[in-house]
Amino acid sequence: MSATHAALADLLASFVSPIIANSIITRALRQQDLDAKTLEAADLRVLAPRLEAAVKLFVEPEHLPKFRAGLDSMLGDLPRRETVVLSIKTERDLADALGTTRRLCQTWRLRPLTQQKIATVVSELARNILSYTPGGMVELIPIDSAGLLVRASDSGSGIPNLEQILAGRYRSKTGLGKGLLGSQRLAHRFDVRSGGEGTVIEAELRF
Amino acid sequence: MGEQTELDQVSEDRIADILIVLSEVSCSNFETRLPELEEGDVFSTLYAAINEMAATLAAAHERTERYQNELAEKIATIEEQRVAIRELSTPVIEVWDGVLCLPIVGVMDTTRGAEMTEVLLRTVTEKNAKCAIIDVTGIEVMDTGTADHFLRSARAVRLLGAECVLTGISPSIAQTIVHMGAELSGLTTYRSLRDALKEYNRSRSALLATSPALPHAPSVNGRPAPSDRSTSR
Repeated sequence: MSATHAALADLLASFVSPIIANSIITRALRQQDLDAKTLEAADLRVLAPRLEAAVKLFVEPEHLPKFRAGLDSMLGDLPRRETVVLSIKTERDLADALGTTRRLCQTWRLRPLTQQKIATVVSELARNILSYTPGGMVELIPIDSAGLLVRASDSGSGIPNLEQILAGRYRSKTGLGKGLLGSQRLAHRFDVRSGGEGTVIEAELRF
Repeated sequence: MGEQTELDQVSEDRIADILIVLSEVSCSNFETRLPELEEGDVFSTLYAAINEMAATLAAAHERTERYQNELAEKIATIEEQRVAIRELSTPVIEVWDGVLCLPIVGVMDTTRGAEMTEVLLRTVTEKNAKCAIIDVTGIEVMDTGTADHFLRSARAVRLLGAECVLTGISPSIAQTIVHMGAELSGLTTYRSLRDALKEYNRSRSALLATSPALPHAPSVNGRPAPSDRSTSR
């Protein structure tokens, strides 16, 4: 049992019984593919929402702020996650971007499936920038504790047949549609603003 | 009070020399020096200081040139290495008689993708291969473009009369592909290279066992018998 795990158990013990505390933790760990023995403070970021959701079931609403405060103080010492900007102008930029994305996901201790989804969305959007525009960038913007916003912007001339593509009705010969549609399916929220001066795509991914 | 002292001719000459040397230094001629003066000459300290300045600048300039050359060499090496790595990254290995394996490692970009297909098709033809196994265990990401590319490559291989299968898809990649709705149907996949080889051998020996070309194909209940190499003549 790691120090973080023990600290977490202590925190929960002041809100629920030890048995329930233990099962809340175990369940949250399982949902995030984490191991109690190797649990680190940094893992709390992705664990926090699950723990909160579970604690809500057992505890009166008026105690929840105190629990959140307890979690926040455990999270408080962690370095803030910073936005990362990836420039996309050449094929090499794509490889670099994916490498950076992978390293970031590992630093943030995200589980393999989440890492794969993020990397795939970055790859899809970056490839489209490379294939269809003079260039652009992909930003990785952390959202609260359990989400990431992938924002791809370019200076191309816009996406034709956008509505049909997003509705899954367009049969693209070039593959632009599939990448966009695939990314939309992976994302929790997916917004596209496209016009003659360029396109901005925002894909919000939850951990 | 504000009277300008007239300089004597010697001093004027000295100052002229200094100005010349300074302007040469500013044009990056660092070899220039002022002549040594007799001891006691009023200008000797100034001359020495200017000479030292020129020498220091000369050394600094030489260092900079050296660094720039080293940097240019390093950049050239990096480029060579990059090309070499790219070439290494599309090896096609013959893992069994007529069976080729193409391991994909890292990121598939358009250039690599095109190279991969070209090398694969060429090797299938040259080695008269019956089966090509594309192994993606080491792939960084499988997006819709990459998946499409594998599908098309497999189709091309099949046109050459060989099978083409994919191996090494990780659980995360499998889930992501399905979640995206990307199509990999039409492409046979196996979990590992080993599974693919086993299946290839199995179907191959089944094929050979029931081949009409073999005169006394041993069989038990219509299935190939355990290998007993005593085929009678």
